[in-house]
Amino acid sequence: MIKDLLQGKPFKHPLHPFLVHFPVGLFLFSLVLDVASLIFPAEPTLEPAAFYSMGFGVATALLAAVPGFVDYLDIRKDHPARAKAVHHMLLNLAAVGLYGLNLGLRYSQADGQQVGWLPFVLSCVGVGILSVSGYLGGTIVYADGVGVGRHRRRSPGPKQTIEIKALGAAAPREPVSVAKAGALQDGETLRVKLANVVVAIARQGDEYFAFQEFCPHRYGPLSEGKIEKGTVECPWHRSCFDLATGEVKQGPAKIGLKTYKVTVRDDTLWIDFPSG
Amino acid sequence: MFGLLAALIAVPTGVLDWAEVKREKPAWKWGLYHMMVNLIVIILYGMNLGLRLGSYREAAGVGQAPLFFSALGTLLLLVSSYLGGRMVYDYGIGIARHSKEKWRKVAEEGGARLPPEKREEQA
Repeated sequence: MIKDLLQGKPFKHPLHPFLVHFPVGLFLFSLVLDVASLIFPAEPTLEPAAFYSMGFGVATALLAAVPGFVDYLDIRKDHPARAKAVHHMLLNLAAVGLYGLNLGLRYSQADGQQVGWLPFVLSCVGVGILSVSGYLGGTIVYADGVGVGRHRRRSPGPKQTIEIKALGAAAPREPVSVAKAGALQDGETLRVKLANVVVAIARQGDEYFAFQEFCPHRYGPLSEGKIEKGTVECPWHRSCFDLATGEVKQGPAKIGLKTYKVTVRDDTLWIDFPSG
Repeated sequence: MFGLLAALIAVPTGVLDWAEVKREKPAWKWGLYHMMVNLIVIILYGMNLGLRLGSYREAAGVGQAPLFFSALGTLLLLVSSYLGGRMVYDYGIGIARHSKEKWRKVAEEGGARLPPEKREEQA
């Protein structure tokens, strides 16, 4: 499937963070060559070299944008990283637009002389924007864990958290209906939030399980984990838990999950949230 | 030349990251291979630079040996960067290392059972 390929699942590594090294390196090197052309004005090769480096930078940036956008589409709609990814994308588009302009300016005056002040300033601004946006992109991976362990999950993760507010301030003592049972296929998960409590619901075969969303190791999102052989595996560091009992099957996590009772009635999933 | 300088700057951060990976984890080996391939690449590029040093001002085009070294260097870099990438995206090395306090708060609010707050944990 093209989407899986663009997300790098066959390589167990997303494509976007691999491809971005090319534009980042080429844009940065283009600026290095500009500075060199200012220091060594008699050297005629530096300015055209900066031009070509920038040209390949724009080409590879456009290439890297495609899997980046596909990665973005799979971030859960209410995930804090989603807004970050939008900023990351807008900054990158601005940077590529500026570099396109920059290339145009240079093309009309590529004469082996020193670089003009306007293209040079544009390059400095471009590298500045790239640094900010690159850092943002890095935090989406290292802080928010987007794309980490994603290739081990066979089915798509939940698109959105199902929020159930209401029911007054007190925690409910009755089971709460959270979703249609038919909404969930084998190996799929839901992410449900009742008041503040966040729960992942998984289906394996014809059985449904509910457990805490956050892994007790580094709090990774278990609703994005792999559901297999009666266990859920955290996408981040592969801690494995029994779906029914929540006990640890494999570390690094040391304590088990809180589990919740799920019942199916009238094709609807009901969950017992403990009171208090 | 700039590549070599930047590579040398990146080395200590990589070694420190590797030092945090526990010995018995599979990622420890991946890190070791990643480091060894990178060291070979740096040495290759160092030799490459030496070969080019004498003649870089001549417009005669690049010689066969430096070109071969560059091709080999690029190939090895692809291998080692893939190893490095797998450590992050497959084994989660460095993931949530700095953000775990933030995520702990989110998990606490979300009513999760959590380990008692304590010393540094390692992935």
